[in-house]
Amino acid sequence: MTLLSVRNLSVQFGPLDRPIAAVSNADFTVERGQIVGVVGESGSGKSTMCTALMRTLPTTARISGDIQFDGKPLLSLSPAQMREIRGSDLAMILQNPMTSLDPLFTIGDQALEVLRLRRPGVKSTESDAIDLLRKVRIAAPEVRVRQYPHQMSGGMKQRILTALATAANPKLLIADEPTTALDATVQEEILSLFWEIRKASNAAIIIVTHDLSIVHRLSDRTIVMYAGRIVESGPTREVFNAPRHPYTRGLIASMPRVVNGLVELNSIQGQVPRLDQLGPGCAFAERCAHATDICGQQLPALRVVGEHHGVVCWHEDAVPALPHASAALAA
Amino acid sequence: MNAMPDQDTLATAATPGVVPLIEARGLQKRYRLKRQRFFEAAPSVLAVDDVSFKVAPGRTFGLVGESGSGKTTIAKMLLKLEQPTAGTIRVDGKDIFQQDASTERAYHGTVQAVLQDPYGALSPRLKINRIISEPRVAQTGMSWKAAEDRAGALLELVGLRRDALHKYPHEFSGGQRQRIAIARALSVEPRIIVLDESVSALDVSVRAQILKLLEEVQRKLNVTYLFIGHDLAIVRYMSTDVGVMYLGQLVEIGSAAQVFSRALHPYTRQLLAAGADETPIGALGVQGDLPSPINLPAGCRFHTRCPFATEICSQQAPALREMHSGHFGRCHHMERINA
Repeated sequence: MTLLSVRNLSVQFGPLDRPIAAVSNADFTVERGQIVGVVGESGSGKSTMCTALMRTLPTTARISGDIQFDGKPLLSLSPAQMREIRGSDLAMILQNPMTSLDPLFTIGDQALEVLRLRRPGVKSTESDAIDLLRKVRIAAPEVRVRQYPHQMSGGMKQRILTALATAANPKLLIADEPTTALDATVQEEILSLFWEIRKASNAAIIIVTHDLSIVHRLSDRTIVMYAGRIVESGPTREVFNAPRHPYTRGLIASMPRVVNGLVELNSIQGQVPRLDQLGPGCAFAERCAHATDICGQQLPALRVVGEHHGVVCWHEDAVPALPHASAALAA
Repeated sequence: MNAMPDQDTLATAATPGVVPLIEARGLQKRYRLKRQRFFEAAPSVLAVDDVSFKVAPGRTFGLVGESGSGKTTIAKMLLKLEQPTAGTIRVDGKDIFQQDASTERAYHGTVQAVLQDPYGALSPRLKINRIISEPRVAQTGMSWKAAEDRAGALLELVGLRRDALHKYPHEFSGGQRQRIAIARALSVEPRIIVLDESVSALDVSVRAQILKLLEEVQRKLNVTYLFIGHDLAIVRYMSTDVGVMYLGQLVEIGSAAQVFSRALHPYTRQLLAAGADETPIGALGVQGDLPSPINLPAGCRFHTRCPFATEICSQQAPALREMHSGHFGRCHHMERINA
């Protein structure tokens, strides 16, 4: 069942006559209980797109399009209605666990505040806060609940934030680079926590990251963004094993992988174009090995290349298969 | 106190017969902390303990481990930004902590660094030609004019155009700034470059470009890298030899092929499993947090998180033992684990 349906979502900043399109015409859906990974490099619009879903973008942003979430048109809701949804049905975890907690209040105070807001009329006690911490497997929650954020490690803070964000059993959890600042083994714990949240409450999760291997392992669907546009989206396995957009392919090849016992890595030439200097055509054209005249002149239309698998490219049929695409990244 | 590994067999990263360029022996760094109570001794952090390794010229020694494991402290000691509390580092057979002023000055031309944050590493007030030329002028007393003439060639070497010379850092992207930082490091013709998380802040495709560039520089100039990273796939790609750090100690050391395909230590295995595509999510379970380096666990430092730990592990600290030629591990149960 479709939980979130985004149609033609665009976000623009800057002067009206020379707008900077951070996100252009994004179309995607998220089913209940589905984990969707959004990948792309800095400036590709992935964070802006997700912040638009929360409607927490700065007021200077011009948002257009349609977002249907759980039957409600998010872009037409009043700020008060939006506040109702935010934090209850729709929750977000941000990248930096170090600055998302208030340093002046104990973890327990911050947990109780969330519980109070989410369960009006119900008296919450410290033991509710302890239960909340226990859910995200914080060791010795009785002690931790009376401690301050600076007494926690980064991984612990991220787990606590996840606990706070999921206290009200949201239907959709948006996690923006949730593991970027964390060590490998701690990252692993956060990923398995997401896995459990989905299993326990059938919550859908959108995970925004530049780390392809996380998306590969965690998500059901993958959305690839480049210069503000979705260039490919499809079932994760298909996107990683047989990418159809030259950029997706280049991105996957930019990860070191083991081929016949040797570690291989290829890089994409050139650099990401500035958003205020985009031409009329495909933004990837000047870095693309398959580009022809039409690519620089006209935007390609979405082509369906498989079940729920779309790609925005004039020459998707010319993109060669990845050698050993499924080879291990680190093993 | 752990038995020191037999120094002469610890030929890690050094092909037999080749004189190692870098040789660290029994390196230790202890940081004193503020005294908590008046009548108590001040606590201290053992950031690096009993670290020995050798690196041959032209090789890349990768250091991996979690934050707080001591990787950067080792780099700082090699750069002479920190003094070890025990042990020493020899470069070219000479103790770098026993230098007179002029040798020390020359040494800073031998070892250069490229750090993680390309935004903080370049002065926003200086033009690129100044940034790249300054180390050369300071090192050799070369005239600014001559140094700036060379700067253009360095920029081309790192894949930037000469016209970048007259721009300021803010005009460049993160990847381009990292190229400039590499050009600056190369300006004094160093023999060793410390790469401390140099690609960690970069986007995937930019990271791949910089890794390719570092490879090319090494091939052309035969520099030796100390490559510090937390992304194992990247370290594996770059390194010829690898050391795995845990709470200040090397728990495993060997050639990249040995460490990555036949890991000896349970911690290395855990690191490898974390992030590997084949590992099902949740398979690793909760590891618990890294123990505090102020109160190090007794015995083996890893025993609190180790699935193979037995009684001996909490009582006796294991020594680094050679299991295969040039491949060392610091664990009581390597035979059992690798059986």
